[in-house]
This record gives sequence, C-alpha cells and structure tokens, in this order.
Amino acid sequence: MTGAASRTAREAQDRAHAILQAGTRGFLATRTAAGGAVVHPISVFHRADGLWMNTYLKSAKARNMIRHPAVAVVVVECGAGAPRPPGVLVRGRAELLPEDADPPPATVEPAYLLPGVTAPVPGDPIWSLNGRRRWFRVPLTDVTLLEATDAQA
Amino acid sequence: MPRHDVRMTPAEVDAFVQDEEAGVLAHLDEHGDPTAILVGSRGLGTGVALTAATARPLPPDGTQVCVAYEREPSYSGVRAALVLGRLAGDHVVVDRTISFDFGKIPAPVREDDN
Repeated sequence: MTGAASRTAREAQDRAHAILQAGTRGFLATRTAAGGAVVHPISVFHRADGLWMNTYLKSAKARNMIRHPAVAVVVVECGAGAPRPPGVLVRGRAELLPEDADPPPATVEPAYLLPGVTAPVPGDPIWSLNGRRRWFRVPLTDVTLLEATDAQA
Repeated sequence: MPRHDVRMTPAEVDAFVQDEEAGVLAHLDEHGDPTAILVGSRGLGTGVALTAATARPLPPDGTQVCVAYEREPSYSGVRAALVLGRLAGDHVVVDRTISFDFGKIPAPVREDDN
C-alpha cells in the first residue's frame, strides 16, 4: 500500500470510528435456523472492546447469534428518517456476555422515551429484566466505512 | 405487563415500504455468514426496486435477502418492516414480511390522570 493509500485508509477508519462513537442506530444481520439472512433494527453502543447490543434471550436475534455467532452490523448516524450513508459495517463473532456484564454508560437522550414504556436504557436495571435480557458484544476487528457513491469520487 | 400486538397490517406494511427511500439489505456471503449493505429503495406498487447506496453492490440474482426499513422518531414510535425474499435483478420477489409499530402500544395511564 502506498503512503497516500495508507493515509486514505486510515482516514476512512477514523471516520468509521467517529460514526460508531456517535451512533446508536444499528441494524443486526444474522443467519436464521433455516439458513437465510435476516436483519433487525437494534440499538448499539460503542466501547473500546466492541459494539454492545442488548436483547431478549428468547428473541430471534439472540437465538440466531447463539446458534451462528458470525454477524454483520450496520451502524448509521442517529436520525428519525430512513437509514442512509454514511454508515459503518462491522463484521465479527457475537459473544454472549455474562448476566452481570457491566453495561455501557447511558447515551440515549431521555426525551427519546415516553413515560411508562419499558425501553431499555443503559444503566437502568430493566436492561436485565431478571436475566431475560442479555448483552452481546461484537469486536471491532472488521470495520468498513460505507460512504455514498458520490462521496467517493 | 400485557403484550400488545404491534404488527402492522399487510396494507400498512405495503404503504410503509412503498414510502421508504432507503433501507439495509442483508444476505449471506460465500461462506454462509451474514453481511449487509445500505440500499436505496423505490416502491413499485407490488414490490420494491433497490439500488446500492454505497460502493458495495447488490448481491447476485436469486440471492435470498432481507431488507429492513425503519423509522424511529422515538423508541415509542419506532416502525419497522423486514421484507424477506429473493433478488431478481434490482427487484425483491417477496416471500414474507415481519413488521412492528410501537405506536400501537397504548400510552400508559399515569396515576395522577385518575
């Protein structure tokens, strides 16, 4: 790789990690028991050791990750509209974390939630729901910046 | 807490997907592992046509895919539809859909409302 190409690759990685640090809006692609692909929206939380995701152990997402840990996660910048570039693709093996895993610090704005809704807020005991919800972590070893086609010219 | 049916009706799914201009497409790679790309989407009345939104191209014809469409003005207002099917050119031949609309969960009654 030339020096210029190396710089470009490093800049792309820097932009990708900036999106990961700012974004909590994820889409988790897993392999189903029937051998197909499925993708679910999911909140994701960036930490130095990977992307953290919380879901019910009985959910299709969790069952798929336990059966076939190789996953792909697309993370986009937060926003109410449709998911658009730039985004980041993270691929790796999802690890089911112990029940007492320390959740990431809160990054969800309280205004995002309505009173009485049992939405999972990091740091809140309802993240666990007596062990019915668990954390999964995907390492950040395979990270690709997804830029709009016209942004790459 | 009672469980509420948050699924959209088929008509609601159709209307939602037809209106969306972008989504996330997942498929299996040559090793059988999932991967995903960002796509543009255009409603066709009876289906959707897709375009790659980044340099990563659409997978080949015949590939089993799932496209997720989502709007999230707030956690309580998240609406999403997953369209599962096979690619035929830039079209998805739909097998089935999965959907949810958290707006269908009734607002809680606060004690001071009584």
